[in-house]
Amino acid sequence: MTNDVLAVENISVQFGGHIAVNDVSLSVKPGTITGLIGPNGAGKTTLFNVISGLLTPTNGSVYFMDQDITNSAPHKRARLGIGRTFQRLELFNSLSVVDNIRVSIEISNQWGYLRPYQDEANTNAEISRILDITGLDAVRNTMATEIPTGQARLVELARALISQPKILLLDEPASGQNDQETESFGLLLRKICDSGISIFLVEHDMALVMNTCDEVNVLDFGCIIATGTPSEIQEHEIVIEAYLGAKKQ
Amino acid sequence: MAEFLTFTVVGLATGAIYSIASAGLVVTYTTSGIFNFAHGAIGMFSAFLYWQLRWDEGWGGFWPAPIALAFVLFIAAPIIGILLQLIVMRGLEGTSETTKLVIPIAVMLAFIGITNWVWQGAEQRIPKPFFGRNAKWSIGDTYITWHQTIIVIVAIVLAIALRFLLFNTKIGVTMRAVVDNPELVELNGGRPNRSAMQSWAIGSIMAAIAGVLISPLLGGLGVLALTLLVVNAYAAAIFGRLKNLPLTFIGGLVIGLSVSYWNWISRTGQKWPWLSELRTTLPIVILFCVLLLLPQDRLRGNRAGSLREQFRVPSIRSSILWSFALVSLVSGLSLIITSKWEALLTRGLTMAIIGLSMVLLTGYAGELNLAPLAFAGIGAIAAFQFDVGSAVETGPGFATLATLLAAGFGVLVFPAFGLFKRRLFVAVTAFILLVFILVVFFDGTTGTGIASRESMSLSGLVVASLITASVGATVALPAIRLRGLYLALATFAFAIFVDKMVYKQRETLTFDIPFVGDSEDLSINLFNNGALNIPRPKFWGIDFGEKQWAMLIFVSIIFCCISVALIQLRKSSYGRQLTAMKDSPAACATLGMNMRRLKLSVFTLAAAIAGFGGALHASNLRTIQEDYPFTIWEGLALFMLTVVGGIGYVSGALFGGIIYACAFIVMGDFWGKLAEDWGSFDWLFTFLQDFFLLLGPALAGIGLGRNPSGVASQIFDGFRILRKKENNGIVGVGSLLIAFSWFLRVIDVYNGWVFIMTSLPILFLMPLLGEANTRDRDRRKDTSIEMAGIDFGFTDEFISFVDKELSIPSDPMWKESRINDE
Repeated sequence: MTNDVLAVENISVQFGGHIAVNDVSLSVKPGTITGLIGPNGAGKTTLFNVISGLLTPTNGSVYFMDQDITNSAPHKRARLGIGRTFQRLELFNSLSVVDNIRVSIEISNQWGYLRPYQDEANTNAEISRILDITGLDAVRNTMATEIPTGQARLVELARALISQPKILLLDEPASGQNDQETESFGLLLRKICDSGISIFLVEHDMALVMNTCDEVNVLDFGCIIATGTPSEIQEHEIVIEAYLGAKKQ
Repeated sequence: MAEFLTFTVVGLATGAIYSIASAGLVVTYTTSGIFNFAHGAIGMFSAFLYWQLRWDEGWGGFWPAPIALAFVLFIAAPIIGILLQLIVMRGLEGTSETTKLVIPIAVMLAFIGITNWVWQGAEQRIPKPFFGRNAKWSIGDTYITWHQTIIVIVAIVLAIALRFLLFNTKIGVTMRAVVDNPELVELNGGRPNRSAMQSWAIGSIMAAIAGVLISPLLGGLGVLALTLLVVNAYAAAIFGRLKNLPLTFIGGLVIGLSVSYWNWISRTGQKWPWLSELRTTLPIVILFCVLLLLPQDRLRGNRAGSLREQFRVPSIRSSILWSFALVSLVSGLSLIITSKWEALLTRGLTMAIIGLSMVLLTGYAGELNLAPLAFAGIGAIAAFQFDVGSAVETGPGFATLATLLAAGFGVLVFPAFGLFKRRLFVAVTAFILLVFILVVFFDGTTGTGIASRESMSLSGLVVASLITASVGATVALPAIRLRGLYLALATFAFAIFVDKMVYKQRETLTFDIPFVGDSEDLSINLFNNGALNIPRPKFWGIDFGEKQWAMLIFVSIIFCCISVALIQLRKSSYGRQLTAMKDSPAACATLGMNMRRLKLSVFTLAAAIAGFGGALHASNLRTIQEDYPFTIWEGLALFMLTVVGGIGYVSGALFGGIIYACAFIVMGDFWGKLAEDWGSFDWLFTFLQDFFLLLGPALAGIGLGRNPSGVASQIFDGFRILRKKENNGIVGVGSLLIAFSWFLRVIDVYNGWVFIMTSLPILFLMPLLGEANTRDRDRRKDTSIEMAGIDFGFTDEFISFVDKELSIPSDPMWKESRINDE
């Protein structure tokens, strides 16, 4: 019995002869932001797909609040409280921004265990609140295809957030955002975390990761090569070597 | 033992042909990403061409076999493949799975049309096997013809050659690379277009080989039979998951042997008469089973953003207005057209109602269904059997069946609309009661059929819908785990199954409903004489059998009601969820959606609409036959034309239905009449008549690549300009002129042609005039800055406008100081 929100144990994923994720174990503690960094092709998104159930691991187990969910379908994991965004945008492009968020509530109401927003007024109020905190109110009626990438990522976040998850898996949420937007995005993440939602963050923007995360895991060639606080990671020799291709002088 | 060997040899030979055909399909698919539905039709066309060169006594004819073979296989077939790639398939980049499926279907229909056109007449065309029918050798008591031997040898050689080509040559590797990323191939010095052409040429050659080899085994050349035989190879291709050539070859052999052994066991279908058609259906049953057993790809991500198809959702207000316009138009037309045209229009509208089921299922939910008319046919049969037919002995079990169906429908569909627990219970109970009242109080529950009446009842239509819905749910239940092409093929298999096993069924089947009545509660003779007579409805004192115009207005009202309901549904929570599922299944799953249940509900609902439309369609026609109007080919044509109209719009269904039922016949009639009247140009008008009748639908489908969102939206877009205030005058005057022309026609001042020749130009001129008017107004309003001082002077108003646009303070002192600084 641990108090981790999410734990993966000895996860391996193999595509034919290629090992994308190799015996990875890590955990996310409640009320924290945990980062997962690594070069392109390290296996970060593959690991996210395993956690959210879109991919079945070759080996290993996934635990959510101490419950083994390795063989659960993606929609069942979502209903338990695992929300996610995608590296490659997965918006509902035939819908407007507000409908992207509304449909998330409707799915929760219809198929979820909790059905959090039975009342129409309550639903609209919550949509407005989420639009407000993500700064999307100005584009609420714009079609999802017509907004820039940075805002589209916020729509994905808002969509995941409104279903009241216990943990959010964010896959490169800051890509497509400028420096100023990334900074305020970091503050937003902290605010979400303070409201009790744990965050597992995959990101290439090192400033965002180092300023926002409580703990960082580093993945390289499918293996975890380091785990620690941001300052520990910044000094970690193997990490520097993996990123820069040479030992620190 | 000799018998076993004989059937094994026959099975191996047929299986080898399936292997060759399916290998061609796999080559095209792995190298272009397009499942070539026209593969069978190319094989069929090649077989006809070969026959023409070898045996016809007219043009061509009596070519030596090697030369005829070389011409068909190495000149005609590759040219067909290359032209297809160049003209048709190249335009499919960036289109949805639906469009990628529809265009090869259009090509298939085009080949069927061309073949029917070129090789007209009832002449028996019997190709001979290689080296003649008597050239054979033996193993013990079993004789093997040289034709069979050649088939097996060709299959083995081709298997080895293809494997070598695709995996050990530069051409093959490039061909495989093109499907993954053509841009990357180009960056590395490859030529994607040339590779795609090569693969289409090879695929086409394989289809031609299969066609030429299989035709002597059939006894005579038949357009549809040959096309469908090569379609059997689809199962083998799926056996190899459309990429594995060795498994594909094994799949072909398994299918060939299965069919042969079944023929042996069932004594070519005579042992179990009600399964007599299984020998022709077995490959399709295998296809369905293989599809269900195959492991599926993981959930796909978002593609909608990069697709060229985009569908807007109309408002309820505008959909109601358009509905009124349609019913008014139809009512107005019914006063001035003959009953022949009324019947044709009614046919188009009932087909459009069936098309609405595709709008819901494919347009809204993104689920492909190639069996719309199979469900419609089941609806028609159900309406016949349970409403007006005398063949069914329903007994007291019928009311029970109807209520059970209603309960099943309610439980499957209502939760998708957000009804749970108490609300669900109340809704389902209310629905059951409604159906029960309809059936018991209006039809009774005893006797033969509900009643052997002379007209169809409202409850008959409802029960037909419910039965079709339950069949839809039963088919969907195993198939909903499939997606995209695989789902399309599964529904295609179902459509062929219905074609063969239901429409051709002549045996009486009996069923026992548990706990009710005796042991034979339902006794059904599905299609006893190859034709079912289904009378028109008779509601509210109106006999739709006597009044064609009443039937026309009735179906137009039904079409509009279902259309408005569908648009409302699309705008509801349920519709948003369907759209979300279509756009990104992966995102839906990670938000907690149970897609299987949603798919099951939408399949059930769509089947119910198709069944309802099918019953109405059959009732309008009064008679349905085993080969008309619900066959797989007509279903494919309707599906294709609905996609051409715009599968995401109800107007797309209207377009598809009307075009399918009327437009090509109108065009054909028009040219036919001219051919009669102008004898000297008979050849030209007959050519045009045949062209529109045989190739019109196919060419409309092929044109889809250029406008994947559909034609209906373009037409509506054109008329949208008339909604602007400044165009009210044009709309008013145009409408008055058309109304006046209509009035003159009503009082018989002139005939229908004059009415069409006067009103159509006005109708098409209105949006053009509106556009010109709006453009003119916009130009007058437009103050383009660069034209200042040329078209107009520097007025104070203009200067303050420029200041505002450039964020320059309007303080004159500031401006003056800036000027002094400079």
